[in-house]
Amino acid sequence: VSRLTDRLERDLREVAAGAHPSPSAWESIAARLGDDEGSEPGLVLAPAPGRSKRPVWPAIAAAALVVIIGSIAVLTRVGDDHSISPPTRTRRWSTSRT
Amino acid sequence: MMATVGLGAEPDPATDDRVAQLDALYRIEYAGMVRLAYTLLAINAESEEIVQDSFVEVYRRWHEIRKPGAYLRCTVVSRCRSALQRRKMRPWPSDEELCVSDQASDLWDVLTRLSQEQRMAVVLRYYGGYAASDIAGMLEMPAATVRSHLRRGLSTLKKELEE
Repeated sequence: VSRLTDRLERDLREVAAGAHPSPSAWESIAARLGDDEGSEPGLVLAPAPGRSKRPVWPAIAAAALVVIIGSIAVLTRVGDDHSISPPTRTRRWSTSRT
Repeated sequence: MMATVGLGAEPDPATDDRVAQLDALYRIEYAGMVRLAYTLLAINAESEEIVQDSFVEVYRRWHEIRKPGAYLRCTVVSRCRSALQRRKMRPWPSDEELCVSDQASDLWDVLTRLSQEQRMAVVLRYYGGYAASDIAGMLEMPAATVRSHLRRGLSTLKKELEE
């Protein structure tokens, strides 16, 4: 294994030597710093070291629960409004018989 | 002895003069980060773009981060990982484009056939010189998983290179 890892280190260094970092890269970066000064940070691709990932599902589940409960409440109210109330029967009882 | 890429002195993030501090970080880290990105991506322009974007990201978040150098390395590796995921359907640059010796070319061929996680773990360990726990932070996976990727990657490399 150590022969393999020695070869890996050597060959990967050879591959890396093919990179040509631009000598004027700082000018490109510095030119972008002014543009980005006032802007809000965009999509964060890398988390800060040590920052834990928060699961999204509890928020989604809570939102879904609110929607379901709301829907049930609205449907119940609508059902109550449209329900046929029993007609008020007015019976006339003749109190006097002829 | 294997050198560790980008573990130089950390500039002081508490200073308000962010540009001067970023310039200091640039002098320490830029070339090493481009070489690391190039060893992961094998395309010079893409590697430079990713590293430059990462420096701008560090500048934006300067007051929120404690270790700009560590944040820069995580950002570079994370962006390389995203670039590799987008690249899945595209072929790797050939070894002629890489301009390396026959021996390094053989190794590169096998390396490009490893899974993305195995390849990244192997490059970060044996070119970057990072410990499994550091790689775990960069790739957002447990250290045990990194060690497993390293073991499987090395096993495949050994088998393929000895044939």
